[in-house]
Amino acid sequence: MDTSHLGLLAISDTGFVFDPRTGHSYTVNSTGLTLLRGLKQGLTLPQIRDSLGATHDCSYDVSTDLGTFIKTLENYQLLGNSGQG
Amino acid sequence: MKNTITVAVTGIHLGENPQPGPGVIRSLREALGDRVRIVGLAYDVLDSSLYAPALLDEAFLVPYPSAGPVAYLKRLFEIQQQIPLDAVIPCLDLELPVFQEIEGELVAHGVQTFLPRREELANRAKDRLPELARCVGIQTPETHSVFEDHALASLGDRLGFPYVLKGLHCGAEVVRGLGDAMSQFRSLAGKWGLPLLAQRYVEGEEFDVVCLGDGHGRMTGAVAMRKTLLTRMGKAWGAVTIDDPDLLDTARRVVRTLRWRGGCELELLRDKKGGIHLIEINPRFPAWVYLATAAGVNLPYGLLRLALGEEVCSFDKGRAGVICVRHAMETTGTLEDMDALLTQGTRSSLTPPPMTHA
Repeated sequence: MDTSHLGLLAISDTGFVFDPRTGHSYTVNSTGLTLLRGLKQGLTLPQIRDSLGATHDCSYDVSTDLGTFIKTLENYQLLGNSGQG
Repeated sequence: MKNTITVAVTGIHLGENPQPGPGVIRSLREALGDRVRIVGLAYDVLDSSLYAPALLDEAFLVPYPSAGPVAYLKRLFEIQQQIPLDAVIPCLDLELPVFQEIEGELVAHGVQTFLPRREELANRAKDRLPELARCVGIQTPETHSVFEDHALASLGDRLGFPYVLKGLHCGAEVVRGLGDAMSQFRSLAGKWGLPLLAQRYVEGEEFDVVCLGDGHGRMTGAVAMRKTLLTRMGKAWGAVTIDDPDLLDTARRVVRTLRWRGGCELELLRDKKGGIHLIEINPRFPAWVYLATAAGVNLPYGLLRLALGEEVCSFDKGRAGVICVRHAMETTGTLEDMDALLTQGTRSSLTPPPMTHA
Protein backbone atom coordinates (compact mmCIF):
# COMPACT_ATOMS: atom_id res chain seq x y z
CA MET A 1 0.00 0.00 0.00
CA ASP A 2 1.57 3.28 -1.15
CA THR A 3 0.54 6.04 1.24
CA SER A 4 2.87 8.74 -0.14
CA HIS A 5 0.03 10.76 -1.69
CA LEU A 6 -1.72 10.97 1.68
CA GLY A 7 1.19 13.07 2.92
CA LEU A 8 0.15 15.82 0.51
CA LEU A 9 -3.42 16.02 1.75
CA ALA A 10 -4.60 18.88 3.89
CA ILE A 11 -6.84 17.32 6.56
CA SER A 12 -8.77 19.49 8.99
CA ASP A 13 -9.87 18.45 12.46
CA THR A 14 -13.47 18.58 11.27
CA GLY A 15 -12.89 16.02 8.53
CA PHE A 16 -12.50 18.28 5.49
CA VAL A 17 -9.85 16.86 3.16
CA PHE A 18 -8.24 18.79 0.29
CA ASP A 19 -5.95 17.28 -2.31
CA PRO A 20 -3.70 20.12 -3.56
CA ARG A 21 -2.52 18.09 -6.57
CA THR A 22 -5.96 17.72 -8.10
CA GLY A 23 -8.12 20.30 -6.34
CA HIS A 24 -10.58 17.65 -5.22
CA SER A 25 -12.03 17.89 -1.76
CA TYR A 26 -13.76 15.31 0.42
CA THR A 27 -15.36 15.04 3.81
CA VAL A 28 -14.89 12.15 6.19
CA ASN A 29 -16.55 11.33 9.49
CA SER A 30 -14.59 10.84 12.69
CA THR A 31 -13.92 7.18 11.90
CA GLY A 32 -12.57 8.07 8.48
CA LEU A 33 -10.49 10.83 10.03
CA THR A 34 -8.89 8.39 12.45
CA LEU A 35 -8.15 6.00 9.62
CA LEU A 36 -6.74 8.66 7.30
CA ARG A 37 -4.50 10.09 10.00
CA GLY A 38 -3.35 6.61 10.95
CA LEU A 39 -2.43 5.78 7.37
CA LYS A 40 -0.69 9.14 7.00
CA GLN A 41 1.35 8.37 10.14
CA GLY A 42 2.34 5.01 8.67
CA LEU A 43 0.36 2.86 11.09
CA THR A 44 -0.50 -0.69 10.07
CA LEU A 45 -4.11 -1.78 9.66
CA PRO A 46 -4.12 -3.75 12.95
CA GLN A 47 -2.74 -0.66 14.72
CA ILE A 48 -5.45 1.50 13.17
CA ARG A 49 -8.08 -1.07 14.14
CA ASP A 50 -6.84 -0.92 17.72
CA SER A 51 -6.82 2.86 17.62
CA LEU A 52 -10.41 2.89 16.41
CA GLY A 53 -11.37 0.45 19.15
CA ALA A 54 -9.85 2.78 21.73
CA THR A 55 -11.64 5.89 20.55
CA HIS A 56 -14.91 4.48 19.21
CA ASP A 57 -17.45 2.08 20.60
CA CYS A 58 -16.92 -0.85 18.22
CA SER A 59 -19.06 -3.86 19.01
CA TYR A 60 -17.91 -5.84 15.97
CA ASP A 61 -14.78 -6.49 13.90
CA VAL A 62 -14.23 -3.43 11.69
CA SER A 63 -11.69 -5.10 9.37
CA THR A 64 -14.21 -5.35 6.53
CA ASP A 65 -15.17 -1.67 6.90
CA LEU A 66 -11.51 -0.71 6.92
CA GLY A 67 -10.95 -2.68 3.72
CA THR A 68 -13.90 -0.93 2.08
CA PHE A 69 -12.59 2.47 3.11
CA ILE A 70 -9.14 1.69 1.77
CA LYS A 71 -10.68 0.53 -1.51
CA THR A 72 -12.49 3.88 -1.70
CA LEU A 73 -9.22 5.75 -1.17
CA GLU A 74 -7.64 3.67 -3.95
CA ASN A 75 -10.55 4.44 -6.29
CA TYR A 76 -10.01 8.14 -5.65
CA GLN A 77 -6.29 7.60 -6.30
CA LEU A 78 -5.45 8.89 -2.85
CA LEU A 79 -3.84 5.60 -2.01
CA GLY A 80 -1.65 3.62 -4.37
CA ASN A 81 -2.14 -0.09 -4.49
CA SER A 82 1.32 -1.57 -4.57
CA GLY A 83 0.04 -5.03 -3.72
CA GLN A 84 1.24 -4.88 -0.15
CA GLY A 85 -0.75 -5.12 3.09
CA MET B 1 7.50 53.42 -11.99
CA LYS B 2 5.75 56.79 -12.06
CA ASN B 3 3.64 57.85 -9.11
CA THR B 4 0.42 57.29 -11.03
CA ILE B 5 0.16 54.96 -14.00
CA THR B 6 -2.69 55.17 -16.47
CA VAL B 7 -3.52 51.85 -18.06
CA ALA B 8 -6.10 51.11 -20.74
CA VAL B 9 -7.66 47.65 -20.61
CA THR B 10 -9.92 45.94 -23.15
CA GLY B 11 -12.21 42.90 -22.85
CA ILE B 12 -14.32 44.33 -20.05
CA HIS B 13 -17.62 42.49 -20.49
CA LEU B 14 -18.56 39.89 -17.90
CA GLY B 15 -21.31 38.03 -19.69
CA GLU B 16 -22.04 34.40 -20.41
CA ASN B 17 -18.57 34.19 -21.93
CA PRO B 18 -16.70 36.34 -19.43
CA GLN B 19 -13.76 38.41 -20.65
CA PRO B 20 -10.44 38.85 -18.83
CA GLY B 21 -10.42 42.65 -18.47
CA PRO B 22 -12.13 42.90 -15.06
CA GLY B 23 -9.75 40.31 -13.54
CA VAL B 24 -6.76 42.19 -14.96
CA ILE B 25 -8.08 45.50 -13.59
CA ARG B 26 -8.75 44.08 -10.12
CA SER B 27 -5.23 42.66 -10.06
CA LEU B 28 -3.70 46.01 -11.03
CA ARG B 29 -5.76 47.81 -8.42
CA GLU B 30 -4.72 45.28 -5.80
CA ALA B 31 -1.03 45.90 -6.57
CA LEU B 32 -1.13 49.66 -7.11
CA GLY B 33 -4.19 50.98 -5.27
CA ASP B 34 -4.63 54.67 -5.95
CA ARG B 35 -1.47 54.71 -8.04
CA VAL B 36 -3.25 53.26 -11.06
CA ARG B 37 -5.86 54.95 -13.18
CA ILE B 38 -7.86 52.54 -15.29
CA VAL B 39 -9.28 53.43 -18.69
CA GLY B 40 -11.78 50.85 -19.88
CA LEU B 41 -11.96 50.32 -23.64
CA ALA B 42 -15.39 48.98 -24.54
CA TYR B 43 -16.80 47.64 -27.79
CA ASP B 44 -20.41 47.98 -26.81
CA VAL B 45 -22.39 50.45 -24.78
CA LEU B 46 -23.67 47.51 -22.75
CA ASP B 47 -20.26 46.06 -21.83
CA SER B 48 -20.88 45.29 -18.18
CA SER B 49 -17.80 46.90 -16.62
CA LEU B 50 -18.95 50.30 -17.88
CA TYR B 51 -21.49 50.27 -15.07
CA ALA B 52 -19.58 48.32 -12.42
CA PRO B 53 -18.64 50.37 -9.39
CA ALA B 54 -14.96 50.91 -8.48
CA LEU B 55 -13.62 49.23 -11.59
CA LEU B 56 -13.00 51.95 -14.20
CA ASP B 57 -11.89 55.55 -13.81
CA GLU B 58 -12.63 56.42 -17.42
CA ALA B 59 -14.26 54.57 -20.26
CA PHE B 60 -14.25 54.92 -24.03
CA LEU B 61 -15.88 53.08 -26.87
CA VAL B 62 -13.42 51.74 -29.44
CA PRO B 63 -14.01 50.23 -32.88
CA TYR B 64 -14.07 46.45 -33.23
CA PRO B 65 -10.73 44.96 -34.30
CA SER B 66 -12.35 44.10 -37.63
CA ALA B 67 -12.30 47.84 -38.41
CA GLY B 68 -8.56 47.40 -38.87
CA PRO B 69 -5.39 48.82 -37.36
CA VAL B 70 -5.71 52.31 -38.85
CA ALA B 71 -9.15 52.94 -37.34
CA TYR B 72 -8.11 51.38 -34.05
CA LEU B 73 -4.96 53.46 -33.77
CA LYS B 74 -6.82 56.65 -34.69
CA ARG B 75 -9.27 56.03 -31.85
CA LEU B 76 -6.51 55.26 -29.34
CA PHE B 77 -4.77 58.49 -30.28
CA GLU B 78 -8.04 60.41 -29.76
CA ILE B 79 -8.26 58.85 -26.31
CA GLN B 80 -4.57 59.52 -25.66
CA GLN B 81 -5.18 63.23 -26.30
CA GLN B 82 -7.82 63.30 -23.57
CA ILE B 83 -6.21 60.91 -21.09
CA PRO B 84 -2.47 60.34 -21.54
CA LEU B 85 -2.00 56.58 -21.41
CA ASP B 86 1.13 54.87 -20.08
CA ALA B 87 0.19 51.37 -21.18
CA VAL B 88 -2.52 49.35 -22.83
CA ILE B 89 -3.35 45.72 -22.04
CA PRO B 90 -5.43 44.05 -24.75
CA CYS B 91 -7.29 41.08 -23.28
CA LEU B 92 -8.98 39.46 -26.29
CA ASP B 93 -7.52 37.02 -28.84
CA LEU B 94 -8.88 38.80 -31.88
CA GLU B 95 -7.30 42.11 -30.90
CA LEU B 96 -3.77 40.77 -30.97
CA PRO B 97 -3.11 40.99 -34.73
CA VAL B 98 -4.33 44.59 -34.66
CA PHE B 99 -2.19 45.52 -31.66
CA GLN B 100 0.83 43.84 -33.23
CA GLU B 101 0.34 46.13 -36.24
CA ILE B 102 0.08 49.30 -34.17
CA GLU B 103 2.48 48.44 -31.34
CA GLY B 104 5.35 50.48 -32.82
CA GLU B 105 3.19 53.59 -33.22
CA LEU B 106 1.81 53.23 -29.71
CA VAL B 107 5.26 52.90 -28.17
CA ALA B 108 6.46 55.88 -30.20
CA HIS B 109 3.66 57.86 -28.57
CA GLY B 110 4.49 56.69 -25.06
CA VAL B 111 1.93 53.90 -24.77
CA GLN B 112 3.66 50.68 -23.74
CA THR B 113 2.40 47.17 -24.41
CA PHE B 114 3.68 43.67 -23.81
CA LEU B 115 2.37 41.43 -26.58
CA PRO B 116 3.26 38.06 -28.04
CA ARG B 117 5.11 38.39 -31.35
CA ARG B 118 3.53 37.25 -34.61
CA GLU B 119 5.64 34.12 -34.80
CA GLU B 120 4.73 33.02 -31.28
CA LEU B 121 1.08 33.70 -31.94
CA ALA B 122 1.20 31.54 -35.07
CA ASN B 123 3.17 28.76 -33.37
CA ARG B 124 0.62 28.32 -30.61
CA ALA B 125 -2.39 28.24 -32.97
CA LYS B 126 -4.68 25.24 -32.59
CA ASP B 127 -3.69 23.77 -35.95
CA ARG B 128 0.02 23.99 -35.01
CA LEU B 129 -0.28 22.32 -31.61
CA PRO B 130 0.98 18.88 -32.71
CA GLU B 131 4.19 20.46 -34.00
CA LEU B 132 4.62 22.51 -30.83
CA ALA B 133 3.89 19.51 -28.61
CA ARG B 134 6.60 17.54 -30.44
CA CYS B 135 9.12 20.33 -29.81
CA VAL B 136 8.16 20.57 -26.14
CA GLY B 137 8.06 16.81 -25.71
CA ILE B 138 4.47 16.48 -24.52
CA GLN B 139 1.38 14.78 -25.83
CA THR B 140 -1.46 16.48 -27.67
CA PRO B 141 -4.55 14.83 -29.12
CA GLU B 142 -4.37 13.94 -32.83
CA THR B 143 -5.80 16.91 -34.73
CA HIS B 144 -6.95 17.39 -38.35
CA SER B 145 -8.18 20.42 -40.26
CA VAL B 146 -11.70 20.04 -41.65
CA PHE B 147 -12.63 22.12 -44.66
CA GLU B 148 -15.89 20.40 -45.67
CA ASP B 149 -18.55 18.26 -44.06
CA HIS B 150 -17.81 15.32 -46.40
CA ALA B 151 -14.68 14.69 -44.34
CA LEU B 152 -16.59 14.16 -41.07
CA ALA B 153 -17.40 10.49 -41.64
CA SER B 154 -13.83 9.47 -42.43
CA LEU B 155 -12.66 11.49 -39.41
CA GLY B 156 -15.12 9.47 -37.35
CA ASP B 157 -13.46 6.28 -38.65
CA ARG B 158 -10.02 7.63 -37.97
CA LEU B 159 -10.52 9.30 -34.58
CA GLY B 160 -13.48 7.28 -33.37
CA PHE B 161 -16.58 8.85 -31.83
CA PRO B 162 -16.76 10.93 -29.77
CA TYR B 163 -14.29 13.46 -31.10
CA VAL B 164 -14.03 17.22 -30.65
CA LEU B 165 -14.87 19.76 -33.35
CA LYS B 166 -13.34 23.18 -32.82
CA GLY B 167 -13.31 26.57 -34.44
CA LEU B 168 -9.86 27.82 -35.35
CA HIS B 169 -10.11 30.64 -32.79
CA CYS B 170 -13.10 29.91 -30.56
CA GLY B 171 -15.78 27.33 -29.94
CA ALA B 172 -15.57 23.59 -29.33
CA GLU B 173 -18.15 20.79 -29.25
CA VAL B 174 -17.85 17.10 -28.49
CA VAL B 175 -19.58 15.21 -31.30
CA ARG B 176 -20.92 11.73 -30.58
CA GLY B 177 -21.96 10.53 -34.01
CA LEU B 178 -22.04 11.51 -37.67
CA GLY B 179 -25.40 13.32 -37.43
CA ASP B 180 -24.16 15.29 -34.44
CA ALA B 181 -20.90 16.05 -36.26
CA MET B 182 -22.76 17.37 -39.34
CA SER B 183 -24.99 19.56 -37.23
CA GLN B 184 -22.12 20.97 -35.13
CA PHE B 185 -20.02 21.48 -38.26
CA ARG B 186 -22.70 23.79 -39.69
CA SER B 187 -23.10 25.61 -36.39
CA LEU B 188 -19.38 26.10 -35.69
CA ALA B 189 -18.50 26.95 -39.30
CA GLY B 190 -21.34 29.48 -39.37
CA LYS B 191 -20.04 31.17 -36.21
CA TRP B 192 -16.27 30.93 -36.61
CA GLY B 193 -15.60 30.17 -40.25
CA LEU B 194 -13.51 27.43 -41.87
CA PRO B 195 -11.44 25.43 -41.43
CA LEU B 196 -12.60 23.69 -38.30
CA LEU B 197 -10.40 21.28 -36.41
CA ALA B 198 -11.26 17.71 -35.47
CA GLN B 199 -9.43 16.51 -32.38
CA ARG B 200 -9.29 13.06 -30.85
CA TYR B 201 -11.28 12.94 -27.62
CA VAL B 202 -9.08 12.13 -24.63
CA GLU B 203 -10.82 11.08 -21.47
CA GLY B 204 -9.44 12.71 -18.37
CA GLU B 205 -9.57 15.71 -16.14
CA GLU B 206 -8.97 19.21 -17.44
CA PHE B 207 -6.67 21.69 -15.73
CA ASP B 208 -5.83 25.22 -16.75
CA VAL B 209 -2.62 27.13 -16.12
CA VAL B 210 -2.26 30.89 -16.37
CA CYS B 211 1.31 32.02 -17.13
CA LEU B 212 3.38 35.08 -17.88
CA GLY B 213 6.36 34.81 -20.23
CA ASP B 214 9.09 37.45 -20.40
CA GLY B 215 9.68 36.98 -24.13
CA HIS B 216 13.14 35.48 -23.60
CA GLY B 217 12.01 32.00 -22.59
CA ARG B 218 11.50 32.60 -18.87
CA MET B 219 8.16 31.94 -17.22
CA THR B 220 7.97 34.59 -14.53
CA GLY B 221 4.99 33.03 -12.82
CA ALA B 222 2.13 30.58 -13.21
CA VAL B 223 -0.84 29.21 -11.32
CA ALA B 224 -2.76 26.02 -12.09
CA MET B 225 -6.41 25.46 -11.34
CA ARG B 226 -9.19 22.92 -11.74
CA LYS B 227 -12.62 24.09 -12.75
CA THR B 228 -15.22 23.24 -10.12
CA LEU B 229 -18.25 24.79 -11.80
CA LEU B 230 -18.85 25.05 -15.54
CA THR B 231 -21.17 27.18 -17.61
CA ARG B 232 -23.14 25.68 -20.47
CA MET B 233 -20.32 26.91 -22.72
CA GLY B 234 -17.73 25.05 -20.64
CA LYS B 235 -16.32 28.23 -19.13
CA ALA B 236 -15.15 28.25 -15.52
CA TRP B 237 -17.77 29.58 -13.13
CA GLY B 238 -15.94 28.18 -10.13
CA ALA B 239 -12.36 26.99 -9.70
CA VAL B 240 -9.74 26.01 -7.15
CA THR B 241 -5.99 26.57 -7.35
CA ILE B 242 -3.84 23.46 -7.18
CA ASP B 243 -0.20 22.57 -6.70
CA ASP B 244 0.80 20.13 -9.43
CA PRO B 245 4.51 20.41 -10.29
CA ASP B 246 4.02 18.41 -13.51
CA LEU B 247 1.50 20.93 -14.86
CA LEU B 248 3.70 23.88 -13.96
CA ASP B 249 6.72 22.18 -15.49
CA THR B 250 4.75 21.59 -18.70
CA ALA B 251 3.79 25.27 -18.75
CA ARG B 252 7.41 26.29 -18.17
CA ARG B 253 8.56 24.16 -21.11
CA VAL B 254 5.87 25.56 -23.41
CA VAL B 255 6.73 29.16 -22.47
CA ARG B 256 10.43 28.42 -22.97
CA THR B 257 9.92 26.76 -26.34
CA LEU B 258 7.68 29.51 -27.66
CA ARG B 259 9.70 32.27 -25.94
CA TRP B 260 6.25 33.54 -25.09
CA ARG B 261 5.92 37.25 -24.47
CA GLY B 262 2.92 38.20 -22.34
CA GLY B 263 0.12 36.39 -20.60
CA CYS B 264 -1.38 33.13 -21.74
CA GLU B 265 -3.53 30.24 -20.58
CA LEU B 266 -2.71 26.60 -21.18
CA GLU B 267 -5.56 24.10 -21.26
CA LEU B 268 -4.18 20.73 -20.22
CA LEU B 269 -5.73 17.36 -19.68
CA ARG B 270 -4.53 14.59 -17.41
CA ASP B 271 -5.57 11.16 -18.65
CA LYS B 272 -6.40 8.29 -16.35
CA LYS B 273 -2.80 7.07 -16.42
CA GLY B 274 -1.54 10.50 -15.35
CA GLY B 275 -0.28 11.55 -18.80
CA ILE B 276 -0.55 15.25 -19.60
CA HIS B 277 -2.00 16.37 -22.94
CA LEU B 278 -1.82 19.91 -24.29
CA ILE B 279 -5.30 20.84 -25.51
CA GLU B 280 -5.04 24.54 -26.29
CA ILE B 281 -3.05 27.71 -25.65
CA ASN B 282 -5.00 30.93 -25.32
CA PRO B 283 -2.76 33.92 -26.13
CA ARG B 284 -3.87 36.20 -23.29
CA PHE B 285 -4.82 36.04 -19.64
CA PRO B 286 -8.00 34.08 -18.93
CA ALA B 287 -11.10 35.58 -17.30
CA TRP B 288 -10.15 33.79 -14.06
CA VAL B 289 -6.75 35.53 -13.80
CA TYR B 290 -7.77 37.23 -10.55
CA LEU B 291 -7.82 33.78 -8.91
CA ALA B 292 -4.05 33.62 -9.49
CA THR B 293 -3.70 37.05 -7.89
CA ALA B 294 -5.72 35.85 -4.91
CA ALA B 295 -3.33 32.90 -4.70
CA GLY B 296 -0.41 35.33 -4.42
CA VAL B 297 0.75 35.50 -8.04
CA ASN B 298 -0.25 38.84 -9.55
CA LEU B 299 0.54 38.21 -13.21
CA PRO B 300 -1.23 41.30 -14.67
CA TYR B 301 0.93 43.49 -12.44
CA GLY B 302 3.97 41.53 -13.63
CA LEU B 303 2.92 42.12 -17.23
CA LEU B 304 2.48 45.84 -16.62
CA ARG B 305 5.96 46.04 -15.13
CA LEU B 306 7.40 44.19 -18.14
CA ALA B 307 5.52 46.57 -20.46
CA LEU B 308 7.05 49.52 -18.62
CA GLY B 309 10.51 48.02 -18.99
CA GLU B 310 10.90 47.19 -15.31
CA GLU B 311 12.56 44.21 -13.73
CA VAL B 312 10.25 41.34 -12.82
CA CYS B 313 11.60 38.63 -10.53
CA SER B 314 10.09 35.19 -10.77
CA PHE B 315 6.97 34.86 -8.64
CA ASP B 316 6.85 32.38 -5.78
CA LYS B 317 4.56 29.40 -6.19
CA GLY B 318 0.89 30.30 -5.71
CA ARG B 319 -1.11 28.95 -2.80
CA ALA B 320 -3.11 25.81 -3.49
CA GLY B 321 -6.68 25.62 -2.24
CA VAL B 322 -7.79 29.15 -3.07
CA ILE B 323 -11.29 28.89 -4.46
CA CYS B 324 -13.35 31.25 -6.57
CA VAL B 325 -16.95 31.31 -7.61
CA ARG B 326 -18.16 33.84 -10.15
CA HIS B 327 -20.95 36.00 -8.82
CA ALA B 328 -23.31 37.50 -11.39
CA MET B 329 -25.25 40.55 -10.33
CA GLU B 330 -26.84 43.55 -11.95
CA THR B 331 -24.86 46.71 -12.42
CA THR B 332 -26.88 49.83 -13.03
CA GLY B 333 -26.35 52.98 -15.04
CA THR B 334 -28.28 56.00 -16.11
CA LEU B 335 -29.53 57.28 -19.42
CA GLU B 336 -26.90 60.00 -19.12
CA ASP B 337 -24.18 57.32 -19.04
CA MET B 338 -25.59 55.70 -22.15
CA ASP B 339 -26.08 59.05 -23.84
CA ALA B 340 -22.46 60.00 -23.22
CA LEU B 341 -21.17 56.68 -24.50
CA LEU B 342 -23.33 56.65 -27.61
CA THR B 343 -22.92 60.27 -28.61
CA GLN B 344 -19.42 61.09 -27.33
CA GLY B 345 -17.93 57.62 -27.07
CA THR B 346 -16.85 58.15 -23.49
CA ARG B 347 -18.05 58.03 -19.92
CA SER B 348 -16.08 59.79 -17.24
CA SER B 349 -16.20 59.11 -13.55
CA LEU B 350 -14.67 62.49 -12.90
CA THR B 351 -16.72 65.48 -11.88
CA PRO B 352 -17.33 67.52 -15.04
CA PRO B 353 -15.54 70.86 -15.20
CA PRO B 354 -17.65 73.85 -14.15
CA MET B 355 -19.54 75.65 -16.89
CA THR B 356 -17.73 78.69 -18.15
CA HIS B 357 -19.53 81.90 -18.99
CA ALA B 358 -18.52 84.28 -21.70
